Amino acid sequence: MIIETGANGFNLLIPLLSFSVNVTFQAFLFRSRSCGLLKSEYIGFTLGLVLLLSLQLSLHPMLPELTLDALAIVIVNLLIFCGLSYCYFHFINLCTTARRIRLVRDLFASPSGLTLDQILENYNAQDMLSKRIQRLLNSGQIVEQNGRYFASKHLVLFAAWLMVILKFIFLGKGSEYD
Amino acid sequence: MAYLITYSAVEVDSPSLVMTMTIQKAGGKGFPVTDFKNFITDELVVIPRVNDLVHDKIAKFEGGIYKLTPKGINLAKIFNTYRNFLKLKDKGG
Repeated sequence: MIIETGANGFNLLIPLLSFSVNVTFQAFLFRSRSCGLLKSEYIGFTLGLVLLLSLQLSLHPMLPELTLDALAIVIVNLLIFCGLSYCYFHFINLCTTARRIRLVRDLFASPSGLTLDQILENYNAQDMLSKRIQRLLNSGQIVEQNGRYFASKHLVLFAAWLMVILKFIFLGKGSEYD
Repeated sequence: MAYLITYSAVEVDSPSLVMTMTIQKAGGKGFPVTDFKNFITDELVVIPRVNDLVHDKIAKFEGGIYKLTPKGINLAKIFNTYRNFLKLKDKGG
């Protein structure tokens, strides 16, 4: 008996195509300054996800008759798309916020090299602090009132706690700031 | 690939996440704006990352000067190319 799973070459391309749409729209929206960086990432991801689900539905128009094998393909494609998008999200974060990448780029701009004092002249803790506070204020994660900061949204906070848990699982240690 | 990226993000604490948690822990009384300057220092957030570059052979330290290795140069080119593509103006970090 032949079981129709919908498995074919096109199925393999669906997550790649959807990921391409994610990257293309994210880059287009941000380059044209239609929206901020984080918003462009959300929109790109959403459009890619919509395309992926639409293509999967077009392959399986009769959802009630979806076999377990076909459902497995849909789930695997979703995982591939989410995995690629996750990597792209972090790649952009590295481009914009990573300290090591910033230092590498500063050193690249000075082929003859830099002393530690020159490195700290270009980029130091106070620069980093003001940039990051500004980003947190701009994104509404924190607010300032009467010379004090207050937490307002919980997205970054959720990410922070997730990182604490993952760090404990991977490395068995707590924050280096404690 | 996702695991590698997550590991590198977990390996070193993000100052933004630490700052957010510090503000959250302060609760309803808030966290004084000026207090961050006391514990976010070059010794804590910048110099260890410079040392990481040398440890990971991305940069070399010779005669008091830090210089990129070929590996570091390639890394810088990849990120500079994508930053230019996205037209990112802020220096980052």
